[in-house]
Amino acid sequence: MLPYILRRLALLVVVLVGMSAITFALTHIVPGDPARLLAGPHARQEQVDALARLYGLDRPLPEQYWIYLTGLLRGDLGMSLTTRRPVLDDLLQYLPATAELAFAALALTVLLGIPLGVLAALRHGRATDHAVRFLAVAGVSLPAFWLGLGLQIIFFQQLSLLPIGGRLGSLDAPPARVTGAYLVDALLAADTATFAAAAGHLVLPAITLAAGSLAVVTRMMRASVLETLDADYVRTARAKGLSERVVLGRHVLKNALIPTITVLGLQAGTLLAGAVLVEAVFSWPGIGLYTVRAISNLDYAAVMGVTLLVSAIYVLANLLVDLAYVVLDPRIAEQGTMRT
Amino acid sequence: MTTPPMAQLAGPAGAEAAFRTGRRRRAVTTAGRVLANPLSAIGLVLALVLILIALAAPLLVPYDPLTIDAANRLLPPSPTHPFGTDEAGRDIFSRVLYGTRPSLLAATVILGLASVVGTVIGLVAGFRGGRVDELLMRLTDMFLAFPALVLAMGAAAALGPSFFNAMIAIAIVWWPWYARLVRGQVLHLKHELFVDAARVAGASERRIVLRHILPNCWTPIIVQMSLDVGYAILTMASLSFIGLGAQPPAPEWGAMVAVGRDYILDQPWYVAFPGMAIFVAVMAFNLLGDGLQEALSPRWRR
Repeated sequence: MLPYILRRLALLVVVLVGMSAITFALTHIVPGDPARLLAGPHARQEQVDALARLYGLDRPLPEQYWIYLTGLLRGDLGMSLTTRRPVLDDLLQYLPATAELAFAALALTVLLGIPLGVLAALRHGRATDHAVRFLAVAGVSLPAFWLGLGLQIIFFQQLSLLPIGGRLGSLDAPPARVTGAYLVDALLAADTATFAAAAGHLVLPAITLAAGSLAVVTRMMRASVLETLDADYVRTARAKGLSERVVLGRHVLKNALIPTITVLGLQAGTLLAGAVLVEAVFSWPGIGLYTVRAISNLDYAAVMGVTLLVSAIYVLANLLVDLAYVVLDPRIAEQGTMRT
Repeated sequence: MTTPPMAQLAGPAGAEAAFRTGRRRRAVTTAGRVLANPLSAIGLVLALVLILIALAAPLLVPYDPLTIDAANRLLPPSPTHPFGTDEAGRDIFSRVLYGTRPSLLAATVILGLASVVGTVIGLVAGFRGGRVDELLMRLTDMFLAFPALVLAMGAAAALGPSFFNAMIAIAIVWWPWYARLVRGQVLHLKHELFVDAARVAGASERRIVLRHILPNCWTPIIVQMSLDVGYAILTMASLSFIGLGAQPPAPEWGAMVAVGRDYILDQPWYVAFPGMAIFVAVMAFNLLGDGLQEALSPRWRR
C-alpha cells in the first residue's frame, strides 16, 4: 500500500510539472502586453520597460519558464500583477472561502444524491424513479450562473429570506481567523451570531454549486444500485434467506458505492471549476472570483498559480478515491489492478 | 443479403458486410428505442425545433436582434415584445431566437474539432502501440487531469476574449476524451476476425485503419458526441457569461445573461429568458444523448 501511495505522489509531481508547462505555454502565447496593461494606457515607454524588467517579462520565454519552475520548487509562484502580492499569499488567503463553499456543496451532494439514487433504483420504473431521473437530467442541464441568479431573485428579492451575496453582511465582523472557513472559525470562537450569518450566506451559493454534481451522483448511484441488485451474490444472499435490510445494507449499498465514489472524486474538479461561476454570481471572495479578475487582467502568474493549485487538488482527490476503493473492495489491492 | 453463417465462409469482405448490415439493422431498432422512451422522444423533438429555429431565425423574428430602440428600453414582456426589451430597447425574444445560432454553431465546431483531433490521436495510439501509444496517452492524461472549464478559461483568456477563440479554447480541452475512447475501441477491434483476415489478404496498414477499423468506431464516437452537445453549449455559454466568449451586444445567451445581471432586481425577465433558452437547449440534447446511449447499451439485451 505505501509504495503505491508514494508512486502516486511521485506521479503527482510529474503531472504538476506537465501542467505548469501547458499553462505556461497557453498563457504566454497571448498577443496582449501585460506590462503595458499594468502601467496603464498613459505610461511612457520607459515606465513600461521598467515594469517588464521588474517582472522578468523581457526575458526569452524558455528562460521565463525556467525561472518560474525553479521558483515553484521554493514555493514561489511569482507575483500577482493584479494584487501586487505573492501569488501563494493570495491563494492561501482566498482558498478557505472556496474550500468552505466546495465542502458545503459536496456535503449536499452526498447527503441528497446517494439516498435519492437508491430510492430511484428501488422504485425502478415507477413514478418516483421517473421524477428523480428527470430532476437529474434537469440538474446537469441548468446553467449554474442562471440558477444562482434565479435563487437570488426568489430568496433575496421576493422572500427576503437570504442574503444576495458575499460571505457576511456589511455590518458583521468576520470571526478571528484560524482556518479561514467562517463556519469553523465562528464555532471555534463560540460565536453563534456570526455562525448563523455565515451559514445564511452560504446556503444559496452552496445549492447553486451542488446542483450539477448532485444530479451526476444521483444518476450514478441509481445506475449502480440497479446493476448490483442484479448481481449473483445478491441473489445468493437473498436465497440464503437474509432479510431485505441486510441484503441492501451489506451487499447492495456497499458495492454500489464504489462507482459512485469515483464519480465523487471527479466532482472535486467540477466543483472547483463551477466555483468560478458561482463565486462570480454571489460575489463570494474565493479562488474563483480571484481567477476571473486575474484572467481579465492578463495576470499570468495568478492564472498559472490557480490552475496548478486546482490540478493538484484534483489529482489528490483522485488518489483519495483510489485509496477508498481499496478499503471498500479488497479484491482490487490483491489483483494489483489499481489505476495509476 | 448475406446471412451470418454464409458470411463466415465469404472471407473478410463478407464478414464485414454482415457486420455492417447488422449495424444498419441496429440503427433502425436504435431509433425505435430512442422514440419509445418518452423523455428521449421529447429531447429529439426539442433538438429538431432548435435546429429549425437556428436555420430559419431571420424569418421568425419580429425585430432585428441588434437594432437599438432608445424609446423602448427595459420594457416588461408584452404582446409586442413577448420577452420584453433590453437596456438598449432591443427585442429580447428576437435575440433569444437568434441565440440558437451561436450555441449550435459552437457545439458543432467544438465537437467537430475535438472528435477529429481525438480520433486521429486515438487511432494512431491504439494501432501503433508501444512508445507512440505511451507518449500520446500520457499527454492525454495530462489534459484530463485538469478540470476542463478551468483550462478552457485559461486558454480563452490567453487567446483573447472572443467567440471564435472561446470555441478553439474549448476544443483544446475536449479532444482527449475522444482520443481515449477511440484508442479503446481500436485496441478492441485490432483483434477482430475481419481485421486479421484483411491483414492476411495483404491490405496495407493505412487501408486496415481507414477501411476496417475507423468505420467501426463511428457508433461510440457518435454516442459520445450526442452526449456532449449539451455540455458544449453549456460550456460556451459559461465562458460568455464570464466575459471570455461572445461579446455584447452579440445575441448570445450567456452574454445576454451577463449583461442582464445588472438589471436582475428590477427587470428579472432580462436574465430569465436567455437563461431558460440555455437550459432548454442543453436539456434537449442531454435527453436525446441519454436515450441514444441507453438504446445502444448492452443492458437492453437482458
